[in-house]
Amino acid sequence: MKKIKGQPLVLTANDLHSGACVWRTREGDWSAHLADAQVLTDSAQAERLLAEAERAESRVLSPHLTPVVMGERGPRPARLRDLLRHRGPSAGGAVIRSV
Amino acid sequence: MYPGTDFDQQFLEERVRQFTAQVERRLSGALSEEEFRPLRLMNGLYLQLHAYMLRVAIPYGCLSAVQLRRLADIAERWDRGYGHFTTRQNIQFNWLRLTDVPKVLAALADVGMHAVQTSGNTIRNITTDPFAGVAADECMDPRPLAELLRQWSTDHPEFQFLPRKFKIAISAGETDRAITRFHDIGLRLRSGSRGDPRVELIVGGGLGRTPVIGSTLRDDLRIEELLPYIEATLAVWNRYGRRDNKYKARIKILVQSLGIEAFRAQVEAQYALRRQIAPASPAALASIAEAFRQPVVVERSLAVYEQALASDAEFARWIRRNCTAHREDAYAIVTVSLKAHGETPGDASVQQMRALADLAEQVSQGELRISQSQNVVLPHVHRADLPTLFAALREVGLGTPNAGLLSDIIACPGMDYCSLALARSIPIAQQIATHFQSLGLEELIGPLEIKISGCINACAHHHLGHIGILGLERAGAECYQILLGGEGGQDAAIGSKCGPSFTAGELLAALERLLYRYLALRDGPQERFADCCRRLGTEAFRQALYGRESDTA
Repeated sequence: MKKIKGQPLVLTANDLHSGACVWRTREGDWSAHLADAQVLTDSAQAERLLAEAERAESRVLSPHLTPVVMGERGPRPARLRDLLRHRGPSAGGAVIRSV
Repeated sequence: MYPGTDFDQQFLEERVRQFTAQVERRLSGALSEEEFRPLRLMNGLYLQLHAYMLRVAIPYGCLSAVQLRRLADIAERWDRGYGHFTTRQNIQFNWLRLTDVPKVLAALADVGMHAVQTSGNTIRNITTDPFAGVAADECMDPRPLAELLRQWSTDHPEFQFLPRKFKIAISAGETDRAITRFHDIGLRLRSGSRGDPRVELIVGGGLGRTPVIGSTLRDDLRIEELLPYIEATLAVWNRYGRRDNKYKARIKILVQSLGIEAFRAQVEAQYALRRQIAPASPAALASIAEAFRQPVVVERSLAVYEQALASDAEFARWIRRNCTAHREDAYAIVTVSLKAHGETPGDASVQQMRALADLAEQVSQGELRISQSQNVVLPHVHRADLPTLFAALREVGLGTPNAGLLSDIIACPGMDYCSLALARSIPIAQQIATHFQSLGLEELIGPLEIKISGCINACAHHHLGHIGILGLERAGAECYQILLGGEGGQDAAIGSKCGPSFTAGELLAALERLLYRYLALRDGPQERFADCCRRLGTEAFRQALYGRESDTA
């Protein structure tokens, strides 16, 4: 992946069983909540954790590092694709709103 | 509807058993993801942004009320209460858990459905005219042929590891409603002399990053020659098609690189070897045709219908937009719009699916179709039933009289769901539909096809939109490129790109300028946007998009 100098990162993936978006926590676990994610500022550590996640395919798929912007309520993905993974589809419509 | 056979049922049950065991082995760690991936793709299962997505085949778009009810049950029990109908007449469930997929497949197999060959490098779901078998303008019913090809292509040992996916479409109408010029193989059926049907076989059409209008490989095939001829065509591609680069692997690239003449020579050589295969295909086709249940035609008074038509303007508008001539005058083909303004194009909720299944049983002899424009079709509705049908559809948000109009937008799932997309499609479709509705321009503008893809793979056929919209990424932000003048039917044309892309915020104003320019330039309301574009060229419209005056204005 492209290195983003200086920007904090989080490690994210999809859970093997559910396919749901998960975020790697400080404890080394995977959480469905971005707020639980460990924010990584050391790129060497980030790459090491990514390599570890790539070997953990009995738990998660498609692991990748993604830059975040730090706000009052914790990290928020800087890239739209990961923001949508975090928030769910943006599309309105009664069908989706009723979920 | 074709009833399906014991052979099909056994095959599906066996496949469910196999896949259930494969999922178990994946979960236990006995299979790596690399090993499992092709297995899940053979069964239509993708991993998307938020969950697993299962693409369920609806063979040539034909669905029974019982099957639709089962799809609703699946959406309710294992998904999030809705399904998404696609441009290849299939349905996708967006929120499945891998652990539930075996149960979903078993529930599908129970009603003769599956997700076999809806993904992977195989022959995909055969598509055809959503009005097949009832259209007033068709020379023969293409569904038996589609069923024959389905049987032939399912688990065909030679064609399970093709260079890339392969899509076949069949049309038998005077109007091509199956986009045959943009498929790997498109078949156009016509009646020959002495009632002996002839087939034009079109090869190498396609969209994606290399949009190509297909070329006629043969214009005069007899029905009995068709199966070996298609097989010969696939065999040539299977042997010589590129496998080193997935963007160059489709048959269109091989046809382009060899040239149609040389390609035809190769196919003819293969055909000479294979013409004796499937000698029983004419008999098989005849017995399939016999098994298709024909609609019952009854005589009833049309007084209620005529009265409603005269007194209810909304009903009359819906009839004008959403009903098509049936081969029986007293009947209509009804297009049920899944494009209510502001909703997600092609999505149907559990409640809507159940209502449609009930209505299909009440007024359409238990049958439904899924159209390439992501709508549902009730193919045999007696005109006397239309007023009650319209009222019932309106109750569940399915009575929008917009088939073929601006808000009947085709949109792919885009970045809201899809891991390949670079931009969102659905919110753009929703904004366009509600914006022009609030301007009150939709009826005035008349027939207009807008198609929005969230990436170059063109799942929403943006090249074929009268107005095509392609989502791109520019400096990390979504943006949208406009194409003008595309057409999927007989006047097949690939839309031309119009200069720099727009941000989502700029797009509505650009489209508004474009459509006001069209209203100013058109030769009366009978000249569709697409025809006006063709007559004047796209330049005048391109100028309007970018807010410039034009010499022709």
